[in-house]
Amino acid sequence: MIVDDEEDLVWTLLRQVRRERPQLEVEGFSDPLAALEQIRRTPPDVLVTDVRMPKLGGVDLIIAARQSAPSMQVIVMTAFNTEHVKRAVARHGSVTLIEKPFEVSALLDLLTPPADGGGGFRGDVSLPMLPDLVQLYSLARVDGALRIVNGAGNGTLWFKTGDIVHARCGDATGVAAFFEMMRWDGGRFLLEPLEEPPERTIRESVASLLIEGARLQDEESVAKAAPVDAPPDGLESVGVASRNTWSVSEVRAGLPAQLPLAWVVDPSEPRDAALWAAADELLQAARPLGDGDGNGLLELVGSATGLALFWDSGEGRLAVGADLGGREALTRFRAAVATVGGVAVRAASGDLAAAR
Amino acid sequence: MSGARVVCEETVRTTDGGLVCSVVELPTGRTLGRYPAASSEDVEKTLAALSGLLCSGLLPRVGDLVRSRVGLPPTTASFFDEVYCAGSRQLFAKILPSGSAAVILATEPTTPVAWGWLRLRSALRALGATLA
Repeated sequence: MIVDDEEDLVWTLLRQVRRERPQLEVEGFSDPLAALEQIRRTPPDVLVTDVRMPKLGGVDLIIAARQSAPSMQVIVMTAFNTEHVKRAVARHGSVTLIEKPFEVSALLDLLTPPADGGGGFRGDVSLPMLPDLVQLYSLARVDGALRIVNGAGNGTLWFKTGDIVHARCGDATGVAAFFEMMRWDGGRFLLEPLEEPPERTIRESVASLLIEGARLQDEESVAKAAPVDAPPDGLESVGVASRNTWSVSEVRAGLPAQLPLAWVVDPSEPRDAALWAAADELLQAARPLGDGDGNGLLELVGSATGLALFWDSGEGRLAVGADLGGREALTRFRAAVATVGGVAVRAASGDLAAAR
Repeated sequence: MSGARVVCEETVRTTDGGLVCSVVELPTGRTLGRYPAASSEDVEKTLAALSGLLCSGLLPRVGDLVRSRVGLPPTTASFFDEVYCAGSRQLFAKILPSGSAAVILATEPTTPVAWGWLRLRSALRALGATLA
């Protein structure tokens, strides 16, 4: 597909290509919006486009077209072959630039498909999971950019002799982008061989990235499995210590509905005196860990119990989760503490008054 | 203990907002390795406070009291082995399974919590071989 707002150029190129490469099916558009509609209906193998066009610029056309056809080859014709243009188009995948004015033969050379049997294997491959694909390219020690298109967006992984050295997914880069892409359950992919990474943001081995990605997915699936209105699974009791100006009723009122208050550690209760005294000692020891305004959060987690102590300007509250049922419950407890400690998190940022 | 220092350096360098990583022997508080060698006064204060807390014996005592309060059976295992603090900085700490040392990672408050734990766990795996 050839797209240029100069109708004469489109007409000339169509005529030349049809004459010199009769085996190619080629169509031309002087309206980039019409071209985009056609791309969405029937993606071409190759898009040849101008950069500066009314209604829709070439870079925007490439971005929109890649959503529908991530494996499409793109050739950009430009009279402004500047670094700015190069950077703008390079951000959106492998693109070949051809500077106007050019000989039509130069464009035809770019359109020549690779000879069959020229070494290596080509074809479609379908794999159930993205980690399988990553392992495949890692084992093959490839260099290049692996572009993946999913309903949630586009992402790219850059490989250097099989190691992942950079990733980008939406606004995220590095491992955050990699883990975001690992959450996808399907999509299409294309490897752009030998494409250099724009920067290096990842230094972990592929194996450790995949292991951590799987672990994060497990934790996420556990968290998702918990019904919103039910207490976190396995969190059988939540205790809250109140202190000084916060009455028990205030503590109860401050708890989210999904966290039933099983018991209260109250300094006025004799049976809680020892625990509260220890918590108070903990508060004193932890106070230097807070911020300059005297607010902070201390979270302690073990295999059976988690404890969160949060304080603001000299007052402290304690949340305890017990009988959590093993290490896999850590995520649940952290989610619970984040809920109970919604006050605490805001306290840490010095906004406790608003939280109350 | 240059191996621990190397692991600490890698941990700080690969953590967005990473400030200091330190390996502390328990219960002596001796530094087995850290990177960088020095940082700002407020970060040093929080590191010292957390090291003191980890070495003080207060955490096992609080753990025993909590266990008693909620009716859990006694155990000799470490009651709390992960510590997270949020204030002007974030601190992530994990006690090695042997109980002989703890790894502490200090970060800026903007570092995602999940990412802090991720980097700390990576450091622990690397340290497992170094400190064995």
